[in-house]
Amino acid sequence: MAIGTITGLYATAIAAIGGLGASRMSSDLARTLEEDRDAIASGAVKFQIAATYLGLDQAQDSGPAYYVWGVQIFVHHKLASPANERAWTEGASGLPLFQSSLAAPSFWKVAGVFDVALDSIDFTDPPTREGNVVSFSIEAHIRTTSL
Amino acid sequence: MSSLIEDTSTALEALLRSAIPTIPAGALGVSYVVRLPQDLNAENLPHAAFSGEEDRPVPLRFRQIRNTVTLGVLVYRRGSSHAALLADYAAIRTLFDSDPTLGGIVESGGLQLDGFHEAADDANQVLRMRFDGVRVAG
Repeated sequence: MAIGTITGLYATAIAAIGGLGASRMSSDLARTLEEDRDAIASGAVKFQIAATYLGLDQAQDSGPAYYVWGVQIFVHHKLASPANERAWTEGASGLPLFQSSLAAPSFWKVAGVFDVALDSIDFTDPPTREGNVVSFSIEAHIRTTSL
Repeated sequence: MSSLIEDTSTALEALLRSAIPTIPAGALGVSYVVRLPQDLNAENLPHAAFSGEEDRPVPLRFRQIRNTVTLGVLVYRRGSSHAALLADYAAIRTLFDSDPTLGGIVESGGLQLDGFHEAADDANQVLRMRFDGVRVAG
């Protein structure tokens, strides 16, 4: 049962991304070579998650208040066949699966608990490749029912 | 586990032997040190040598390493013509261009001609080339 808090949002998102076949990196905040602590096994997908509180959303005075979080997901994949990058970038179980899943409001929404702020899902970093690792990130603004 | 420089040297030696089948077998025909042309005996010729090996590792994200290797490649002949050296280079070039990855040892590779040289005694000729290759590991 999802809980309408940021803690619950983390747990729900982490479980959902894990369902796509990705595992979490040891650091959610490492963004540079100097900060990296993880290697990625060939063919594996790892992710990082980081949320920022964006403010209160109370559309109507009489309506319920929501707390809005900017949730950013960073996805990293180590190519199993570096010479055949397209096997992952266009493969049905590769990059398109992660992009289409994370871009779908239904991925984030849990009825009565979490909801996606309108038009708030953006690919903040387009897919790029460094060495044999392909990375991209996406950000969604998610409303929770409590803090 | 062999190093990139070792793998590259081995692959280039095979390529040179394939391009110039008259290179003597074994160490007679290939050196991994630079030789003065006049120090080579007739039984060594035509001769191939590698020199100036460089291996430059650069760290990348997620504990990866991008290795760039450079090798000088030399082919020695004696009493040969400029045309023969050109033919050697053409044969090497053709083989290399058919697979610049050297069978997947590097992800990208380049071979450039550094010139045809004649030794001071005019009897010896040297074809000088340079190979650069890149591979990501880790």
